Amino acid sequence: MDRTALPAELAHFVQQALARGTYQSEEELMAEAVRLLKASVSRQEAVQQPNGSTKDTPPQTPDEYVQAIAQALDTGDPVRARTLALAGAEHYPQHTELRTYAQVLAPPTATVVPATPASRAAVTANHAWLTAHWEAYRGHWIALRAGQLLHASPSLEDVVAHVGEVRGRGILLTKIPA
Amino acid sequence: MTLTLPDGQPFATGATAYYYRPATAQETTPRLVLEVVIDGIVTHAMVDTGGLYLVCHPGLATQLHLEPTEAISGPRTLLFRGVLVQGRLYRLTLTLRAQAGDDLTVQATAFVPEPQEEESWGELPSILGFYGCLERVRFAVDPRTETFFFGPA
Repeated sequence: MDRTALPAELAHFVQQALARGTYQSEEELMAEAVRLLKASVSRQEAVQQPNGSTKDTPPQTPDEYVQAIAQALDTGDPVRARTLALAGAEHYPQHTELRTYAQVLAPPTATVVPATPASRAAVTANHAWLTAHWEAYRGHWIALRAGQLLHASPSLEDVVAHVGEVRGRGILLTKIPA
Repeated sequence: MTLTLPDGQPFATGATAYYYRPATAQETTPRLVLEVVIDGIVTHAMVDTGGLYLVCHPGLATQLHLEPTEAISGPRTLLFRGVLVQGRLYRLTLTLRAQAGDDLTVQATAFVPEPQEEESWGELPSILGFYGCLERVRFAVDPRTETFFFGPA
């Protein structure tokens, strides 16, 4: 075996292993290395996914992508789920389910939205009200708009029933811990 | 905004006072709680940089009237504070509201618990995790003035 063709660290390792007498010859050492590599491949095959692909093998069909994303999510691997979703949507842009996966799991985007003096004042007023009245409303859901209390109740449903639709009306809806 | 990068560009474009309090009556460790807007509903959310996604309070989620067809198909299970929670993943709009400067709108991956999870949810507010939510937001905290600075990354 021509050790000069090996990376320096590997050549050093071979030299050390032979010097220790662990292996009688370079051929024996290579045979052991091949055996270890084969064992490693067997271990990889043992963790193959149900659809036949391994973690390192990209899915081959839209359904395989969907299955692999679901598996990544279910096993607590959101990074892999995102990677698969984006790759799947890129490979199969007409596939509705993959498009939804990619849209939902894509990296977030952040955009500056101009605030108005009124919206800034509302946040400040809500903060001031809560700082002043926090203790009195422990255990309650409260509906607050620009520092004005609209309703308070232990029940969220009760608060919503009193103030009506809360979406898009600038009403702060929050539960104060008991 | 007074926070700037070395080249003079702003680091933060908005700032707001945060509440520094335990998130529930059972907890003693204070959390950073901010006023935010989740898909049109103004509410409080606590910052959890070790957490995943924007996790929406199940009661508020009911008020959002979300269509399951907009979610990733089928409910999924998230291990959340040591408890398995059933919910669906949506893309929701989160706005960090500013008392100074401008608001910041984030299109985030949101975990929305199924309605039946509300009973066991307790007093936790909605949660701003890092991966899928805050990961494209620059933020900084001034504990002396209890101010949360934020801007787009």
